[in-house]
Amino acid sequence: MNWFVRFYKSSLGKKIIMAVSGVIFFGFVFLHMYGNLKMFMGTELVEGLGVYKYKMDIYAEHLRTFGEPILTYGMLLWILRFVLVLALVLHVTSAVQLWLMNNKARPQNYANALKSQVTTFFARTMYYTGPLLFLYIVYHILHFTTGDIHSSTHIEGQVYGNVYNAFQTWWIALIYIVAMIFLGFHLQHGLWSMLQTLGINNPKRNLWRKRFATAFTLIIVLGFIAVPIGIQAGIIPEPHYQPNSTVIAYHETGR
Amino acid sequence: MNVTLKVWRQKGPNQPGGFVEYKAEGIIGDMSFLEMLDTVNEGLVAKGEPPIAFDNDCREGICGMCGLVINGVPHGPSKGTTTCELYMRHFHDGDTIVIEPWRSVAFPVMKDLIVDRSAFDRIVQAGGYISCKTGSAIEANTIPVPKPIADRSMDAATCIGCGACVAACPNGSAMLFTSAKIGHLNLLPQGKPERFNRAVHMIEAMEAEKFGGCTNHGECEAACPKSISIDFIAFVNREYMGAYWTADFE
Amino acid sequence: MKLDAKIPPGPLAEKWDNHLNTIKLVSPANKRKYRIIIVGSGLGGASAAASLAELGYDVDCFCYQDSPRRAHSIAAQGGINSTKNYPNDNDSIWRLFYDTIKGGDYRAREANVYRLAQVSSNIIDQCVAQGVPFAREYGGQLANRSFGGAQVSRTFYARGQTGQQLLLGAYQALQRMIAAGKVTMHTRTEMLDLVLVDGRARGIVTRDMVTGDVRSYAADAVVLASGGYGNIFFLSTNAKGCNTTAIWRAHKRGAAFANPCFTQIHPTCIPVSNEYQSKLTLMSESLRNDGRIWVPKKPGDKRPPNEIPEDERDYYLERRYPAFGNLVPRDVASRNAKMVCDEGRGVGISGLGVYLDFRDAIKRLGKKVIEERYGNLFEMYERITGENPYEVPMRIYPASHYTMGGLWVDYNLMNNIPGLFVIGEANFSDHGANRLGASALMQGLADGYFVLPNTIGDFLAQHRPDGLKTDHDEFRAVEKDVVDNVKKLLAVNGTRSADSFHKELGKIVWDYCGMSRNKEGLQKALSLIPALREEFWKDIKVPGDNEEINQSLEKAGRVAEFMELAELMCLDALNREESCGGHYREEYQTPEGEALRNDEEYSYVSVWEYSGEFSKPIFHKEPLQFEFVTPTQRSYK
Repeated sequence: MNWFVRFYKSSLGKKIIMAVSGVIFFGFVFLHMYGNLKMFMGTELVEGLGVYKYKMDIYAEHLRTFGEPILTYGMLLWILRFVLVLALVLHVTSAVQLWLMNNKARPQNYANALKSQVTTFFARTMYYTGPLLFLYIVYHILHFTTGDIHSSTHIEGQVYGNVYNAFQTWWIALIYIVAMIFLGFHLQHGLWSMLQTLGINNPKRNLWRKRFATAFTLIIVLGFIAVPIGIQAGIIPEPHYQPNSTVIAYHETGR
Repeated sequence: MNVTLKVWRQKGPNQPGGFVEYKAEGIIGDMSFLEMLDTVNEGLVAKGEPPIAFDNDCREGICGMCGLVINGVPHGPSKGTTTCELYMRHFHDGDTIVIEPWRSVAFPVMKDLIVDRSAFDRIVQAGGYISCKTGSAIEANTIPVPKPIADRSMDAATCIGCGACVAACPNGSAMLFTSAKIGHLNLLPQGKPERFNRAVHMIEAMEAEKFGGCTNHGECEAACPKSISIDFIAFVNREYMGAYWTADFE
Repeated sequence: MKLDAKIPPGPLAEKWDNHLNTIKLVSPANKRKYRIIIVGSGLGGASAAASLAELGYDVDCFCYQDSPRRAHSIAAQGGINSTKNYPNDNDSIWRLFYDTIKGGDYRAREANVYRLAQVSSNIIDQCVAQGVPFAREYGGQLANRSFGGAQVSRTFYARGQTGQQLLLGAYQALQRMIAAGKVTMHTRTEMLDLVLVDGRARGIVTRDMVTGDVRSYAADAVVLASGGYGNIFFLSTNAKGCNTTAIWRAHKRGAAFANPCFTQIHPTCIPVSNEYQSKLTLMSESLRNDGRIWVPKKPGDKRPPNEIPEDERDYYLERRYPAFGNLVPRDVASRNAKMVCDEGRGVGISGLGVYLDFRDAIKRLGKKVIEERYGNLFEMYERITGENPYEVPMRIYPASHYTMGGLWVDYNLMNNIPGLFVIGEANFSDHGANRLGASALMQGLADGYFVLPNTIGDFLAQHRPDGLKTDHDEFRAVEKDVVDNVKKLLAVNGTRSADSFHKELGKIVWDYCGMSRNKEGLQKALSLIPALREEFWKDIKVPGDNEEINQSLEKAGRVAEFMELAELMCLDALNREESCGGHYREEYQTPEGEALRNDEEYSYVSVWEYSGEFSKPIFHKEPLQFEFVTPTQRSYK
C-alpha cells in the first residue's frame, strides 16, 4: 500500500481520485435523474399480482430486488450506498486537502487582485457549490431516504406519494430546484475537469469535451427540476393509494 | 502620453513592501513596457534614488527572464506576449498602471519586482532531461519521429520558463511549466525509456517546492507568452496514471 | 608573448584524429580529483559543463542570469549546420569547411575550421538523442533547409527557435549533472576577475549579484564561455546583460585578445524607432527570399512608401548586384543599406532604415502563401512596430549581432595563459572575419561537447591536482582589486547613469567602428573614447549599495569594461589596413565598392597583449597559412 500513500500524497493523485469519484457521482446522478422521470409515467398493471402501481414505486422496489437471487433483497442499494459514501468521503477529503494545499501556495496574495482571463464562474465557485451540495445531500437523505424531516407526510414505499406530497410545499420544491442549479454549476466545470484530469484528451477533438459537459449538465439539471416543477404546475397528478399500501387499484381480470 | 505607475517596491526578501507611485511622462507608443520603466529609472538615478529593480535580459521574448503582473495580468494585456515585447501603444494617456511581481510561495520576492525562480530548475533536475551522455548518441536518423509528434513536442518545448503560468494560476500551480517539459520529452521516442520516472519525479519535485495543484481553470494557458496548451496537463495526468498502472517507476 | 597555435601535423582530414590519438588522458579514477570552473551557461558553457561532469570532473558553473537556461544562445533563430548530407545534395565535411573558411574571408585557421566541420555531424546525433525536437519530414526523418552562403541544404532547425531548443538540450544535460552532484551551479553570480597562480589560471573572483559578496573559487582549469561583446554598441541584438567583463578581465591579466575589430552586423533588424530604444530585434534573413529592398531615389523623400511611384524607387541591391540581387551576403547587404542612408535616402523617422517590400511577392504569390512562409515574422514585426507589413513595406536596418573576435586560443582552445580555456563566441577561432548563418550554434556545441572535453584532459594530465585553496595570497590580492573597483564605482557619485554612458559609447563605436570604418574616423574614435572613459570615472552615478541587488552597479561595471575594449577594437580596426568580411575599411575597396583584401600583408590574426591602463597594447601576429585552400576574391555581381 506504500504506492497508494505516495499516489495519494501528490496533488495529482488526489485530483485523479476526485475525478474517479466524480465519474461515480456523474453515473449516479444521471441514473437517479432518469429514475425520477418515472414520476411522469403514471401507473402500470403488475401482471403477476393483478394490481396497478405507480411506475415510480415499481422502479424503486425493483432497485431492491435487482440482482436476485445472487444478491439478497436490498443488497444492491446497500452496495451502491457504500460506494457512494466512500466516493463522497474521498471526493470531499481530497477537495479539502487540495484546497488547503493551494491556499498555502500563495501566502502573500496580490495586493492588486489578479484579473481572470478565461476561467469560468462555474470553475471559480467549485469551492462554494461543493459544500452547498454536501449540505443538500444530507438534507435530501434525511428527507426522502430516512424520512426524518418533513416526516408528517412520509410513508415508506409510497415513493410517488412522498415526492408528490413534499413538492406540494412551494418552498421545499424551491430548495430542490435551487440545489439542482448548484449541481449544474458543479457539473459544468466538474464534468469537463473530470475528462481533463483523467487525461481523456485529444487536442484535435477537444471541443467535444466542453460540449459533453454542457450537454449532460443541461440534461441532468432539467431532468431533475422537471419533477418539482411538474408537481407545482399540476402536470403530475395527485396520488391515490389504497390505505397503507403501495397499490392504487385491483385489476378486474374477469376471472 | 503620461501614465501613472503604481509599482511594488520591496527592499529585500522577507521585508515589507508596498506600492509607490511614479509619473512616467513623455511616453511614446513605440516604447516597450520595459523601455518605459528604463526612462522612469533614468529619472530616479538622476535624483539619486534607487531605480526599480526588475529582471530582463534578451528583450525579444525568448529568454524568459522578464515578467511583471501588469494591472492584474501576468505579462500584461497582449495575448501571447512577454512583458519585454509589450508596447506602450496598448495603453492610453492618463492610465494608471499597477505593476507587481509574480506571487508564489515558491517564487520569493528578492527585490522590488525580482523573484527567485530557482524552483523551476530544481523541477527540471528531478527528471526534465533525457539521460544521454555526450558521445553515446546513435545516428540521428535511426529513430524516425512522426512529424505530428515532433510538432506537438515542439509546441511544449517552446516554454521559456518565465513563470507566468504560476503567477496567473489561482492556486499558484506550476502544472503548465512541469507538463510542458514532461510533454516535450515524453512524446518523443528518445524520451520514452524514462517517461514514467520523469512524470512522477517531476510532479513530486513540483510539490516539494510547495506549488499548488491544478484545478483546471486554464488561466495559465491564457497567460502563457508562448500559448502552451493545457492539453499537456491532461497528457501528463495520463502519463502519471500510466506510471502507477504499470508500476514501472522508482 | 609566445603564440603557438599547436596545429597538429599531417593532412587536414587527419589532424584531429591524430591529435586525439596522441594527447594525454586522465584516468577515470583521477578525474574526480580535478575541479574545473566554467563561466557562462550558453551553448558552449552548458554543453561543456555537462560533458566534463559526465566524464567525472567536478565542475563549478557560473551565470549572471537567474537560471542557466536564459543564456543568450537561446535567441538564435535560424538553425545549425551539419554535414549529414541527408538531402543527397553532395554535401561533405570538405564543403562545409570550405564554405565556412571562404565565408570568413580567409581569416580563420584551416585546421580549426576543418575540425568544426568534422564534429558537426556528432552534434546533431547528440542533440536528437537529448530530445531536441528538430523539424521532421513526413517520413519521420530530420528536415533540412538552405541558408545564406551555401549551395546545399545542411541546416537543421526547430521552427524559428533552434537556439532555444539546442540550449534547452544542453541545459537539461547540465541540470542532470547538477542533480548528480557533479556540477555546482552559481546563478546570479558574475565573474569579475581571473586569478593566476604561478602564471597559470587557477580561479576566479565573483560577485554574488544578490548579496554583493565577493568570493573566490579555485580550480585546476578555468573555462570562459561568456559569449561575445556585441553589446559594446549599446543597441544590438544581444541580450541586455551580455557583457565583456569575463574576457576583458582575463585579457587584463595577460590573456591575448584576437581580432577585436571583427564584428558582424546583421542586415535585417527592425530599425531604431526612438531615442529610448534599448534593444534591436533581428528578423530572420529568410525574409530576403521574397522581399525587395529599396529606398526612394530622391534624398529626403518623406512621402509614405505606397505613394512613391515605381520609377522613383531605387532597388539598389538588384541594381548593383544583378546576379544575387536581394540575396547578397550579410556584410554586403548591411554595407549597402548604410551607404544609401548616408546619402540621405534612408526611410522612417530617423532616416536610418530601408524598405523591405512584399508588395510584389504578395501580388505574385498571394497573401496566403506569404502568410504561410513568414506569418510569425510579420506578426512579430507588427507587435514591435505597430505597422502591418502586408500593407506597408517593412523597414529594416543593420544591427550588431555577433563578434568573431575574442580571446586568442590555440588548437586545444587554450589561451596563452596556461589553464585558461575559451570556448564559443568568447574565443576568436573559427569564423575569421565573417560568420556564416547557422554556424554559431555549431561552434558553441562543437567546442563544448566534443573539443574541450578532450583537449582539457591533455592539459590536466600534465598538471596534477595540488590542493590549491582560495586562501592563497593571489586570491586575496585579486579579491581586493575587485572590491576596490566596486567601491570606486560607488564612490564617484556623479550625475550620469551607466546607460547614458553606454549609449554614448555605443554611438561612437557604431559611427566609427561599425559597418564601415576609415582611418580618420577610427582616429577620432580613439580620441573620443578615452575622453568619455575619463568622464565616466568622474561622473558616473551608482545609487544604492554593494550589499544588495544593484542593477545600476552591475551595469556600471560592465560599461567600464566596454570602454576599454572599445579602444582596442578601434585600434585593431585602424591597424588592419584592408577590408575583409565584417571589417570594411573605406580606403580599401575595389572599383565597384567591394571589400578589398590584402593577403600579402594581412593574412594574419591580430593578437593584442595588455600592457597597462595607459600604455598602448602590444601587438602580435599569428600568421595564417593556407595549405589546403587558396584564398580568392568574393564576387556577387
